[in-house]
Amino acid sequence: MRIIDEQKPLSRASRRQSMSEIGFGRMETYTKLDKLGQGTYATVFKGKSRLTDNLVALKEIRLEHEEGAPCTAIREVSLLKELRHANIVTLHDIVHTERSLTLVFEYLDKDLKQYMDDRGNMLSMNNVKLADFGLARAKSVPTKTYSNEVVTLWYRPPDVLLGSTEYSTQIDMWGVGCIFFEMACGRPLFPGSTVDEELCLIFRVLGCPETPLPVASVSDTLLSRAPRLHQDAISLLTCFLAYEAKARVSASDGMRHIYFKSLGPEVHLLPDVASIFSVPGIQLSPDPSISKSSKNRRLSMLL
Amino acid sequence: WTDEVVLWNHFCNKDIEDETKRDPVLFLRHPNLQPRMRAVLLEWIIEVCDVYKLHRETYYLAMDYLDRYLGLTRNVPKVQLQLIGISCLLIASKVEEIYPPKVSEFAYVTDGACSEDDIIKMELIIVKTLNWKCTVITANSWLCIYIQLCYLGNARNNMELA
Repeated sequence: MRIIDEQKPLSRASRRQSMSEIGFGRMETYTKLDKLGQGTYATVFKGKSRLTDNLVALKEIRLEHEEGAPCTAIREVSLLKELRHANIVTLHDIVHTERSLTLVFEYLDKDLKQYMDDRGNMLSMNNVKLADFGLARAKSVPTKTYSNEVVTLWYRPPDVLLGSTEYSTQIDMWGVGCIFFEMACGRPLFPGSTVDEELCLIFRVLGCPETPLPVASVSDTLLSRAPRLHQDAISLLTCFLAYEAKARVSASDGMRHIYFKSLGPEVHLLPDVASIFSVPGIQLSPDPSISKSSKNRRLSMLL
Repeated sequence: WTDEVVLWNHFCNKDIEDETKRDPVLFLRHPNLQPRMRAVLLEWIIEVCDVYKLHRETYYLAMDYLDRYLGLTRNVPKVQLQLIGISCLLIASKVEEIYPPKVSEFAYVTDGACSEDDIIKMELIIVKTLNWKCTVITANSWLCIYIQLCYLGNARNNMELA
C-alpha cells in the first residue's frame, strides 16, 4: 500500500521541482519586450526566454480582479494543455506571481491578415496557427444549452444571432466559411456592427431563412464579391454558409471536399503534430491569378 | 456533428490518463480526515449547487477537483476542507457555467467560515496543484453518453421490429 501511496505523486512533484530549477515557472526566465496588444483581461507582450533565447508571447493576466482567476484563463490553459497540433499555438509555461498570471506562448510574428498580405513574397514554410482559446469549451455529448453571446459578431452564425443556445461544433463552421472568404478576398464577408445589421448582411446574400435563395444565385453573389475564388471554392463556401446548423458541412467532411483534392491524399494521413509542409510537393506559392495565369490557382489559395 | 468513434475514443483515452486518475487510498495521505467528512462536504456542495441552480456537471467537476487535490496533497487539516470544497466549486463553475456565481456568493454560503480572499487564494493553489487539468470526463458525462446510446439502441431495435 505505501509504495502506491508514495511513489507516483513524489515522482511528479520531483519532476516539477527539476523543471523549476531549470527556470520554468519563474518570471526571471523571461525578458519583457514590446507591448503587442491589450484585451479586456490580459495584456500581451513580446518577450524572450533566457533559457532558449527564443522569442515568446507573454499573455499577462491581472489578478487584482475580485473574482479571482478569470474563467477564460482557466479554460484556455486547461484546454491548451490537452492540445498538441502543428496548427495550434504552443503554451510553453505558466508563471504565477502575487498580482498576475502570465501564460508563455510560442511567438507568432504575424496575424492572419499580415500573413495573407505577405504570402506573395514569402519563401518560408510557416504554418498558420490558431491562438486564443479563452471562450473555448471541451467537446462533449450534446445535451446542454450554452450562452448565445458567443463568437465575434462577424463570424457568428444566424441561428445563434437569432437566439439559439443549442449549438454544437457547427457553430464554428459558419465562421470557418466567413474566414475562408476573408482570406481569399482580403475583406470580411459579413462585417456587421450590431446583431440586426449582421443579420441584414447575411440575408442580403442568402435570402431570408424562410425563403432562402437557391444555391446557384448565392454562388453568383459570392463569386461577384470574390472573383478570385474558383468554382470549387465557392461550392465549399456554400457548404459552410448553411442556415440550418445541421446542414453545415463538418470539419472532417469539409477536408474531403473536392476543393482540397489537388493537395493529394497524403494530407489526410498527416499526424496532428506534423506540418502540412512536411507532405512532399506542398509549398506556398504566390497567387498565380495575380500573374494572370488562371491554372492551378487553388493551391495558392490555401495559405 | 461529430464522428462517434472519435468521441468514444476520446472519452476512453481521457479516462486512462495518468494525471487525472484519482487515488483509491486517498485517506492514507490525510490522517486528519475521514471518509465521512468527504461525504458531508459533498452533500453540502450539492446543496450549494441547488441554491445557485448550477448544472449537475458542475457538481461532478467540483468533486473531481476535490478528490484529485486531496490525492496530490498530504495532511490537510479538517478545518480547511470546506474552503477546499467551495474553491473547487468556484473553479468548476468557471469551467462549466455560462454565468458562474460571484466569489462573494460562494463566501456567503459558508456562513463566515471562508472569506472571499481565502477562496481566491485557494482557487489558485488548487488549479496549480491540479496542473491546470480542469477539463475532465466526469461520471455525469459518461452517463449522458450511455443514455444516448441506450436511446439509439432502442430506436434501432424498434426499427428492426417494424
